[in-house]
Amino acid sequence: MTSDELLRVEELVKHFPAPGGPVRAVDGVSLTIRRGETLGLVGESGSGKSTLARCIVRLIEPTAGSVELDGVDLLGAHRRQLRQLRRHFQIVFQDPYASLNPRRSVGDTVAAPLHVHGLYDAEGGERRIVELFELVGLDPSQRRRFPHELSGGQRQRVGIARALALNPKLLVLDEPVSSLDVSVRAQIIVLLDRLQRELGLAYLLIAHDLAVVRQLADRVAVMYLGKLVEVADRDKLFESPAHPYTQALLSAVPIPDPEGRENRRRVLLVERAETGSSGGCRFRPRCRKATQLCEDEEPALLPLGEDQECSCHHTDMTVPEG
Amino acid sequence: MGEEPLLEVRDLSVTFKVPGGTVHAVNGLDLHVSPGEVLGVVGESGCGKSVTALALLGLLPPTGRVVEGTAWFKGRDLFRLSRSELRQIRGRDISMVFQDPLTSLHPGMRVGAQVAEALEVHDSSLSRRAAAQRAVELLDLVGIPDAALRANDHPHLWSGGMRQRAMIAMAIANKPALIIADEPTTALDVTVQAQILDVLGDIRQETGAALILITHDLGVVAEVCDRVVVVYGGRGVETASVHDLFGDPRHPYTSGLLAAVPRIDGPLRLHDPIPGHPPTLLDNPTGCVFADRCSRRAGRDRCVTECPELRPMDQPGHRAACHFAEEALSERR
Repeated sequence: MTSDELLRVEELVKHFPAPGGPVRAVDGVSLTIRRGETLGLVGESGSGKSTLARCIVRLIEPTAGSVELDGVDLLGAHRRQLRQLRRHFQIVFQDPYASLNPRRSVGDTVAAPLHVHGLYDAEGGERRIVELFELVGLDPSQRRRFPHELSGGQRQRVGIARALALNPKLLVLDEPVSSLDVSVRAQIIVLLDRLQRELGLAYLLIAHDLAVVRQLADRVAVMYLGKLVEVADRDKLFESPAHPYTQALLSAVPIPDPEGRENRRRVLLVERAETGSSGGCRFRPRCRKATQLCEDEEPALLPLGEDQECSCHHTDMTVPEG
Repeated sequence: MGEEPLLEVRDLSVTFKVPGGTVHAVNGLDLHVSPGEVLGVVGESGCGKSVTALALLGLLPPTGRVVEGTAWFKGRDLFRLSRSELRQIRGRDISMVFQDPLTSLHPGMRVGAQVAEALEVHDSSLSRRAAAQRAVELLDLVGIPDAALRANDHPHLWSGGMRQRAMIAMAIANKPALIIADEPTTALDVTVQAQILDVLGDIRQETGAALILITHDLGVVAEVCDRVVVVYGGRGVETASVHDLFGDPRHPYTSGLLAAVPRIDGPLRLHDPIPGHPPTLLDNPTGCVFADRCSRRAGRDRCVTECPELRPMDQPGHRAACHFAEEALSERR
């Protein structure tokens, strides 16, 4: 393990029991995040990206696999140990309204982690709250307010301040801007970018919006039905995506510029088949490159040149455009 | 441009009674759409874009009221029609597609029967069998595979994208002249969104219907609209052809929004975001609704004392509601 590696997830699995067999929400995912780095995790609804995030911070108990933060095993930790370890990794949720206690002033919400960890004292505590409010661009005089008195963007700043209270090394950001308006979204993106540079934080950024991920991520992992299908450097992924799913995803994103829209081409997907066929590549039912090989053998995530990994048998085949 | 508009809304104002007072949700909004045209109505949450659609169709909740304005459609003012007259128009001449296709479909009724019902409501001469037949044709038209078979399914068996296709099938069932789609793809994944936008495009080609597309997503606007109205704080602040709006925005809110949209192509730098947040509209400002967030204002009194009118710019059909719309926005962009 190299010293600049902060998080290492190995073969993480989460199966939910369900009638008719377990739902394999996360089905063997391995990834690493370096110190100060942002890994973007993208995928459509049901791809398992939020479940993966919650398993990493142990809000959900994974079925199998390992998670190490700074060389410390998170999954083996007991309750009390885990609570101590949580100082180092915090999560920011999508909906800042649902994730803040409506009966608690936002200042108390930000102070709560300090209390839990016995780090709040009379004089230093209050100063820390003011500092945190200023850090996330909130007027400290607002700390006596309640969540309903704040705008969506201000509430998300409170959520971020709470996550930063204990000086974590890693923030898991689960769709941090997707419930916000366009103009406010940009403010939060700029804030997250600044905080990362000032505090040396690492981010695991989960988002369905590829444009948001492009703004913040150094590397991007693409998830499809519980597995990573491509992991690459940001620019590599957006300029030369290798997996047919990544290609389809990127080509479906609307471009906010009407010039030349007539000539844009989309990578078409086959309509998703209803029943999950077992074995082989899980993207096969929607893939226009699918062959017998894809049915017989599940492709592994393998290096494809520098800074790019992809799980596809047919990366060299050109896909018909629509 | 010389064509007679299909729908012409003038000076629409809608208020809501709330415990704290009156919310001025829509404040003197004008818009028009020509036959076969795609008009984008774009704005952030609470700007009044959805309320406008509901008002047009007489679907405002009891606390909401159209206090002013006219909406001329085929020689009649929609705001002066009785409930039963409006019921005749809804679903036949003007139909609507909502954001969430699951809550808009009846969970206990087969999808095919729901589409058939949309037909039967407006055509009592249609037999059960003929309606069912036509429903299958419509589902086929919007791209449901094995439509004859799938028409017997209940909605929960369908994916979000398929449900939205079903909603579109219902919306086009009676060959309306106008379809109003309120955030039709917002609840959908991006690959599904692309398919639904394609379906909406194909359907328009086929039926010649005009489309009012209400959305917060400037990417969607750029992909499909002919013309755009930007709404802020219940007012139209800019309207233009889609090319003029994206190529030469004159209102600082429009240009700020455009600069705030992250993209998957082009330069990475995210421009200075617009500060602050959208207004709550509890009080009705005397000046410009955007003044407190505007970079161009720079201490000018006129912006807070006088409400700017939507006035013509250089290009035909391009209008902006800013006292200083002719000033270059280069310092912002």
